[in-house]
Amino acid sequence: MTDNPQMYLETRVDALEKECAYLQRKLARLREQQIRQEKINDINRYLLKQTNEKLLQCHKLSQHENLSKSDFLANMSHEIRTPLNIILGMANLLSETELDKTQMQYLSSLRITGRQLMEILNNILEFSRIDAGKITIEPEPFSLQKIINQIEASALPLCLQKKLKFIVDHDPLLVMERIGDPLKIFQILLNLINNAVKFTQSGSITFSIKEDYTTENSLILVVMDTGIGISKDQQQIIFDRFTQANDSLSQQQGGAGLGLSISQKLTHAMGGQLTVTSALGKGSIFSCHLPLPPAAPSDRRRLRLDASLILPENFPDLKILAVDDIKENIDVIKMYMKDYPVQIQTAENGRQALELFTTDAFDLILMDVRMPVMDGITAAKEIRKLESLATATPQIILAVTAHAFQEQKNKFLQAGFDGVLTKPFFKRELIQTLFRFTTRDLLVPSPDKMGNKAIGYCLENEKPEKIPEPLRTMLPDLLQTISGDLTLMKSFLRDEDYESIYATAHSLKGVAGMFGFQKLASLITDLSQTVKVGNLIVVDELFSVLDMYVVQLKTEFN
Amino acid sequence: MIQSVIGVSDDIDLTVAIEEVISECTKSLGDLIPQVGILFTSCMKADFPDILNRILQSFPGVELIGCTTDGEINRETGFIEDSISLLLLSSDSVEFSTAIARNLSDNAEASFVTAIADANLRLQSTPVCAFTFPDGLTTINIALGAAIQKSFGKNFPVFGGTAGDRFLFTETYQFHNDRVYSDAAPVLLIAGNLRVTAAVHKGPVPTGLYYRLDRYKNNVVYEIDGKTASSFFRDHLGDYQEQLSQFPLAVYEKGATDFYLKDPLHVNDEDESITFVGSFPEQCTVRFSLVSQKDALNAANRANFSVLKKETGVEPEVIFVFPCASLRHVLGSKTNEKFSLLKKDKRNIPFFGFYCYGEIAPFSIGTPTHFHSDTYVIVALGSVDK
Repeated sequence: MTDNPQMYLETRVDALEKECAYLQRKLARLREQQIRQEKINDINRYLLKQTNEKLLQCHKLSQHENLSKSDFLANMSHEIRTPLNIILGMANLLSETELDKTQMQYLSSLRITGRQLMEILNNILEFSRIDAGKITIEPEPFSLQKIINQIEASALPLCLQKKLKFIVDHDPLLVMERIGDPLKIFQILLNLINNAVKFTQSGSITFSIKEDYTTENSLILVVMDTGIGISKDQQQIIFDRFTQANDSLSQQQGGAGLGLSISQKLTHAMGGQLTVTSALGKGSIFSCHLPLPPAAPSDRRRLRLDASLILPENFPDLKILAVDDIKENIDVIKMYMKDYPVQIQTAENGRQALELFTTDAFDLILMDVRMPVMDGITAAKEIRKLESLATATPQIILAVTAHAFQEQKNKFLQAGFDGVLTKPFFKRELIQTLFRFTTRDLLVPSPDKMGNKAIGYCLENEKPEKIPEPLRTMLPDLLQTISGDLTLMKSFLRDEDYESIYATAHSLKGVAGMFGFQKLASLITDLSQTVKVGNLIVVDELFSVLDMYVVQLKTEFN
Repeated sequence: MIQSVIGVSDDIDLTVAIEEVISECTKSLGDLIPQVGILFTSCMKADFPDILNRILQSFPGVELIGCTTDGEINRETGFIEDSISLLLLSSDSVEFSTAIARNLSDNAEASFVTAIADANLRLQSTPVCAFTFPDGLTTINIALGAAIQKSFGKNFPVFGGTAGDRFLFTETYQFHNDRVYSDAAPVLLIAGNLRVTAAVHKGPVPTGLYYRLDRYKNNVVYEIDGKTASSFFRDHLGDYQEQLSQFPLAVYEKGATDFYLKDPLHVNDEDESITFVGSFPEQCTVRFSLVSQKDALNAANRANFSVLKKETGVEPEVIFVFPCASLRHVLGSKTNEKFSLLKKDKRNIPFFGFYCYGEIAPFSIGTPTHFHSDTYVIVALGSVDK
């Protein structure tokens, strides 16, 4: 090569040119690849974006559809509940007629399955409300003792039926006055206990309350049973809606599988946790961990008082004004308070109450909301107006109403009422409410909302001889009034005067509630609702049931 | 025992390249006489008859098959493009026989039947498996999988891939001895005491909603989800028509939860339809798929691992790999990572293959052979009496 530099150079140039061409080809391939790669990445990104958007749209759509289905379910449940009430009402009436053994058996099955269906419908309605985010947690000072009493009252009959032992267990030193939403807690516990009873054939159900030492101000509410137990796999799904652990037993027991799901959702809504441990064939333990801080000392005194009946000797001397257009309602108040040092003056409407307010002094006014001439809300507003002119001490005015929802209660408080007493109420609620409001400066700083819904006691289930004499003497007149009102409502219906039907139904419901005729109150509510939806066939049925019912009551109490 | 030698060159001068390949093979062969040769090349402008003649002259008596590709694969270089790659096989216990199936687009099944019969004439024993490399463009609208199943036998294992043309999609070539074909499929039958192991794994991963094919005929789709196929793709992929082929549709037959992939090939502007590789079954639903380097590598690694770990008592003596060309473009500079498991294996098993437009293999030996898209196919051969 050194001998011929020219040739060497030419060879070298050829080799370099070839190498260059080779590298250029490599470079071109790399460029091609790079462009493809970039485009692939772009497409991947674009595709992912599109896919996510589509999935989001579908998610929204499915949420919307789910909501519509829940609404539909809730509406249907509500619609089914009305005729079911009639069926159950008629079955109840039928049960009190003369039946042979076979007929009684058939009727018993009818009533049991009817009640099961009603429970399912109520659960569906409740679940739909929770699902739609319509529940609000209303924490307030409450007494665990009161919840225990209510739970015992509900669980004992169920346990007795199945010969199960019901045990309540809690540390005697545990502070029973807590802050939480008592209605929701009661609902959770009732579901857990119903579930325990359902799946326990023998042994016991234990309800215990203990401090959760791992979390400050928290309690563990435990429902333990000696039932069939739940397998590990099934423990994963029992809190899902419409799911029940043991299919065959569930089928025997009925239910929609919503109870535990509702309990879990309510527990979560209160910031707690619901857990289960279980062994097949041995039983299950449901533990509801809830943040329930102790109530303030002043509330604790009040709540302790709440849980027991205040004796007349501890009751202050009071002068109250009871305002109601229904005479029987006032009679009940008088009867409840007859042993107490309470002087009761009465008025039939808001205008009369206003006149008495300007001429007399009262410790408290119990004001019915719906009255002729002047309703309770207007009267309360007028009283507040007069007070503001005279700079007088604020008059304690309590609204007496059958409206139980918190929104309506708030409306009354905004109108100038100091509190709300929900009809139907019983002696204990009335006495406690009067006591609480008239001694609140001594005991309770400022209760901002009140109102109790009576639970448990029902006059229509009492034997006549057990009804207190003063109340019993009022019953014939009362039944006559109810009969008359029903006749009136029928004529209103014929005249298509629906407003008058609603107004009469409202009064009648109030009276029925006051005397503890819960079935009657419920039938009248159904009647009113059925008239509203225009289902005249069912309205006729309801009138028949109500007529039969009143005849039966008359026979019984006369 | 199956013995193999491989010669590869990507010299820019193809006359030099073929000489390098021959020289490399001759050196490696020693005293061995090759019985069959397999040639893969992505040099689309090469003088193919000349290359074939040079090989046949250099290795007299060898039966030669092969095809053009979208890139070649071998143990020495891994992935390589613009190369001439030659594998020579010889064995004292295994028989090889080749033939060519022609005019596939007319009647693929009949063509294969003729070719198989021809190849069988030169075999003493019954074939154990076969390899074939059909035209990757003329076969897109025929049911290639079904034709293979019917001609070779329903559960007879056939492996390979369809010929490419370095992603130009103009014309592919198939080789048999000294002849160059299009619309054909060279066939290699292998007989003897042979252990065959194989694996097939999919690269792309389905994503998003399921869509119904509203109107389609064989491999041409006109409407999807109430839109023309073209606008449907445009809505989901953006304006990237050239890259369509890299985003296969996952196809779900009625009631099935498993899927296979169909590559879009090109948009037909006149009616906004899209031509796919392979025809669609009736009443199927489809989903888009995401293609990622990670998923493509995973698919290859899983396939490689499953073949290398096979505890059959028979060592693989030669491995063939047939990955889909579209996955190569997804992997880009990481293409060679696909073969890292094969390279790391201490047994130094030679491997050879090419990037194809469609892959041919059964999901497992003893089940029907299918025509796949976007998969990675690996086949290991080992003679039992070595």
